[in-house]
Amino acid sequence: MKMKISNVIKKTILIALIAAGVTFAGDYVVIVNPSNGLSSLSKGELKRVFTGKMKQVDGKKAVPINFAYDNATAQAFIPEVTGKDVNKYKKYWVEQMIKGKGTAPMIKANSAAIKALVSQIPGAVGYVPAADVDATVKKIDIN
Amino acid sequence: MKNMWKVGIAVLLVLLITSGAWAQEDKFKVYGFMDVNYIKYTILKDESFVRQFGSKDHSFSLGNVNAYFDFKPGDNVRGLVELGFNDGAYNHSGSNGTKFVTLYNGVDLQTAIAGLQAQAAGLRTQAAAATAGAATFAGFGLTDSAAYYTGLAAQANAGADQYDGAAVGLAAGAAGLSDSEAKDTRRTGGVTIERAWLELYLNDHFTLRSGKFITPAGIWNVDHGSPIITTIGQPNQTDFFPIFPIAQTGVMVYGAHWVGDHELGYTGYISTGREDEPGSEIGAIEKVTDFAVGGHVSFKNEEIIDKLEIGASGYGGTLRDKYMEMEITVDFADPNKVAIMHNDVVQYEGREIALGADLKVSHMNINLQSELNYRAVTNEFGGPGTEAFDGKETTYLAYYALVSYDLRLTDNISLTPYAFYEHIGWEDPENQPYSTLASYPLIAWDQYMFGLNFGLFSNLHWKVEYVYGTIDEQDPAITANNYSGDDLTFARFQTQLTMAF
Repeated sequence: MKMKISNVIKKTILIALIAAGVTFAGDYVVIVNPSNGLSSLSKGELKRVFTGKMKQVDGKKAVPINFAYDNATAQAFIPEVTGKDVNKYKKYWVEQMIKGKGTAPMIKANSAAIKALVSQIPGAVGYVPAADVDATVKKIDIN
Repeated sequence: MKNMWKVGIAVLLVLLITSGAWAQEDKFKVYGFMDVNYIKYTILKDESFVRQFGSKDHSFSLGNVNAYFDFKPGDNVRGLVELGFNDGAYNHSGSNGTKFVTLYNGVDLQTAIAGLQAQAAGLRTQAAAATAGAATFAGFGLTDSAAYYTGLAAQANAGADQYDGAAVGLAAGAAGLSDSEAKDTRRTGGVTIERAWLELYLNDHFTLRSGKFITPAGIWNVDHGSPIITTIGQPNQTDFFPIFPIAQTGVMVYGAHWVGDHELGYTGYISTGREDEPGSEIGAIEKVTDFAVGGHVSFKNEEIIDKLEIGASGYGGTLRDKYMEMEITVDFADPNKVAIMHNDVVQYEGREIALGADLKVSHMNINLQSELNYRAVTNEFGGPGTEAFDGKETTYLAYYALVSYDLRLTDNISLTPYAFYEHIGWEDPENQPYSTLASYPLIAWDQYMFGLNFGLFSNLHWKVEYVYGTIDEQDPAITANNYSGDDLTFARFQTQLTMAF
């Protein structure tokens, strides 16, 4: 009996972990709050959001949200969108901070945390693996 | 079924643990940077002019500790205060941790200040001052020291109409000065408000900012923090002889516009002007024309090459220095009858303009940064006895170039060797007799820097640098001096550990 309980719990935990935190390298979509009227952003606009130069999206304060920098999704998104590798991107934000131009975007460890924030903040912009998109967020296209 | 509640708890626990804190963006943040410096001069003669800027001792000291207080009470409103604690020679940033000795009329500065403060202790003359008659005092206050009144009476009896209280105070102080007091090192550091402003964001093209701000001129003045500056030392044209004001208090507007991938940025401001040199009167506006105006425009692109930034800066403002004079009349017949009148006395008035161009280029890990700056100061009033210089101009021309190469050794460690050269020169400094430069027997300053910058984890840097400088002396026909050769050179080795937090 004890063995059966243990196996059930173990399997459940494993499934929950997979649902909460798995990401896949190179495969991401950009998500925004469901109330956001945008259906797309240009790559240049997306770059400006994640470098702090575009402070509004759809008339709302833009709140970019990054994956943890050591996450494969971040390591695919950041160079492709900002044109800087992750180390240069971190250095860029240190420079912006010292110049008084702001601090780096929020960082979250997994898709669930990012989606939770995006669904709460009207101007939030994040990115998650395509498989992790659900009804709590809205996917937009990148031109 | 019996196990389902356990399954449910397990799922809930896992989701709670992995989801982390679902916080909104923080409305208040504190961050900053700090650096620690070691310096050793390898060329610094005791007889040289530059001796006053350095110590021959090994110097290991805390340089900058700057804290930023960043507050966002609403989506479109932001406030930022940057406080700087500096233990070294330069308040602005890039401290080299130097402590140096300043002697003022043969008396160390602390003793001289104490003497002046003693004079400001009271406002009413003592009975002994009845012998002074009527006299005008520069500065505030009177004291009851015998030496003070001896000097006071002597000048009044000699028919002088202005009494230089500082001279007597310093003389009295010097008489009792010990060797250790005379050698006391003098830090020019302390706690400073580097900037403090509030801003209102309307859109990406227009943000309104009010308060004290770092002057948006060139590259180096804006960068200003040791973790993001490649070198340890700063260009003299942004620090020791600032072409543009380092910071100003006023109102600024700024924004940017994008045409494809090209970013066109602008900044414009109106302010109370320069606050960082003699002739600057902080915060005082006597006439509308005293307001300073300036701005910066830039073009940025990261598609043509890795990075291309071109900019131009301009500034125009008034310089004025004045003090409040207290005129005291003591009735000889009845010393208790004292009449006091306050007058504003302008010691210096001038106008200045500054223009600059800046360039920043990066490609294939090679970086080039350069600025060219020009400043012209016109003397409009230099004080009594300097009328010959009214309307005359002093000009400054300065430029620098910094070349570096980024090597990534590992994911978290980089190495950036660099070389830097700067020239700053000025013409006709004697036309501003109130300026400190007028008394310097110099007309130009060149410095070279070579070093290595080790980057660790993007916010921690260790720099090792060698600086060599030469100074050109002014025509001896204008300023008599005996400087030659090594009197006009200096060299130092320095290293710095800096971190952003």
